[in-house]
Amino acid sequence: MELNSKRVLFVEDSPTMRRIIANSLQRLGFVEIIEAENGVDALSKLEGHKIDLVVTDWNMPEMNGAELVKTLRSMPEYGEIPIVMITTRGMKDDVMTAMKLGVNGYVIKPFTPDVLKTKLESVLK
Amino acid sequence: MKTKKGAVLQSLMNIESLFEFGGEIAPFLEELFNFLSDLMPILAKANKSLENTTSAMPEASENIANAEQMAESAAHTIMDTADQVYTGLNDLIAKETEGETKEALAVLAENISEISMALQFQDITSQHLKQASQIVEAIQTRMVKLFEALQGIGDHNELVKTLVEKYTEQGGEDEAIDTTDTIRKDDAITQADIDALFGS
Repeated sequence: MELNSKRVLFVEDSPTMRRIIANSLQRLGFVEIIEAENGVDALSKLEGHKIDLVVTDWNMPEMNGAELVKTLRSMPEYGEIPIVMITTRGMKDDVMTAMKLGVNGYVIKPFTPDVLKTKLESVLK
Repeated sequence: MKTKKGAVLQSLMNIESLFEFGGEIAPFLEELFNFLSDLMPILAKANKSLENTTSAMPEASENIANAEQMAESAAHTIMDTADQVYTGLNDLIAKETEGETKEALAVLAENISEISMALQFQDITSQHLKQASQIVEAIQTRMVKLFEALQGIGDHNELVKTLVEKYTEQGGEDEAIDTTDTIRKDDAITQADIDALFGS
């Protein structure tokens, strides 16, 4: 799968995690990477950009990942956009909630590049 | 008239049965009172400890925040170095033709990448610490409210008032559980201060 043609928006409040995910996405071949610190920031950065994929954390201030997914799914232009959640929330209920909200892939932290690659390729098929 | 007498008789019987019930329940109430009297000093100690830990809470939260900040800074320093090494190794790999050296360099690049990935622990532990702090704070807040409510009831009810008095009597400074070993005072000192103390 050619990932270098895809534009990804990833949302993460932790500076350390943001850097790790950005590095991982670059090494996986993504060229156009837009970063956001929380859901509110993500929504503002979506304006004026065509996005192919959203990668988001769950626990974040202002607007968390679940609220972001809910908001995106209610917007006609992002109703079908692939969304992958990367989070420390590893309870079954959490995963079920994310699925119901419309998340396409779910990655538990800490993750490996291989797991991330598999999930991203799977949702971008 | 007969019906009226019957009703009065019924009321008397009801009162009688109420007294019988009261007689049966009195020993239980006495037991309950004794139990609460015993419990009050324990609650008083717990409350005193809560007061102490509540005042120490902002300090503890600040210490956790400082520790998080330091861990984050250290993680970024490691990542800076790891990224430089990764880029350098990839430059060397690009220059190398096929062979053992190229393979060895690729393994090293992979290893350095794994070091960066392992730094996810910093964010994960930070989140766990925040969660633990929030839980402790929530428990503490509710316990404090419980004690306040208990004291409020004492204003309206003689029985509870007696219990609260017992509770208040026992709540002296000496009764508090010592938490100074677990929650340190903010004795932070800079390297410059240390150097000044040593006169160097």
